Amino acid sequence: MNQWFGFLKKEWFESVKTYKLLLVIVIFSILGILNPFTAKITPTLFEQFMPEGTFVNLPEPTALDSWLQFYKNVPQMGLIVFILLFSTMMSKELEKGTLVILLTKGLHRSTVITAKFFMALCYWTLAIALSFTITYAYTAYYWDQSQLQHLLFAVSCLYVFGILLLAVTLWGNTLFATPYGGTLVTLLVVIAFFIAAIFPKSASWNPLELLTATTQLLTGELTPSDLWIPYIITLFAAILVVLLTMTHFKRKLL
Amino acid sequence: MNNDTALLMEYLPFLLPLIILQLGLAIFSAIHVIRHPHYRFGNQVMWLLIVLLIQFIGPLIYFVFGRGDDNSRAN
Repeated sequence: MNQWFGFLKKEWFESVKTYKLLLVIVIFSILGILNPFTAKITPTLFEQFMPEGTFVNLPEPTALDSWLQFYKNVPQMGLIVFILLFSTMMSKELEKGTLVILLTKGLHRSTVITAKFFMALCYWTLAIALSFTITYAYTAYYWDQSQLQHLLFAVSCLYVFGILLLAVTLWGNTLFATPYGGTLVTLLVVIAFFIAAIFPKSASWNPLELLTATTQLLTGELTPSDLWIPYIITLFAAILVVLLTMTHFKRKLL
Repeated sequence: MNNDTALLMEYLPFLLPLIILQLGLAIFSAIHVIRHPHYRFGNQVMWLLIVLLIQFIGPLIYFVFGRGDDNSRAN
């Protein structure tokens, strides 16, 4: 356990020194502010840029618009940013060979994987919490959000999907040992989810459903009980991928 | 004109933090690009343009993929 915390501490210092903490805080604050801003400014923009005399009847933005922006921006931009940031977590050390020294000194190989995954998980928690709090604060200040439902559950869906993608990135990164390998594998997995989503029946298990169903969750068309199968599947898949990465890394030649 | 100022004031709570964060990140990265002239690929002008012109993805790509190591100057 002591070893594990030691390696975690090293991971933490590394991520601070490589400006990961700074980038996560700044980018996810920007994303958090952008959501209510886009929701609020869109009708004004239409008024300003429409030719004289055109009359567009746009309804006043509501709290739902702000949250729709959140579930459009954070899964797209936020996840891409995050996967890019953590796409080098294994390959950097494998390329430089810095892990060899630690492993020959008796560090368990599973420790490396779990500590790295845990660190990325902490960063993902920080990122989601940050943009969620900022969007929540702005939305609560400008609109009334009492009619929105399952706000926390919807964000946890997004969080769980992010965990799965993180696990897949870590696995791809360990497998190919290049910075682009991890991103590529993640991209392929997401494309596979999208292809599966073409078939309507897959909605009962597809992890992608966690992202697409958030809007219906907020309006109350779906309840959390409709989503528990993809939710559990995504969590188990994430754990499975991490375990796979561990067994794979144990056999990997350095 | 008066209308414009009122509009600006209305959106100031959004614009102010947005501008500070984006400009801050761009300037911080630009200073980093200038002070550490060792990159994994590309040259200083390219990275300066990327960092300054592409909003928040530019600095991210620089810090993750472009930033060279200070201790591996031999290659």
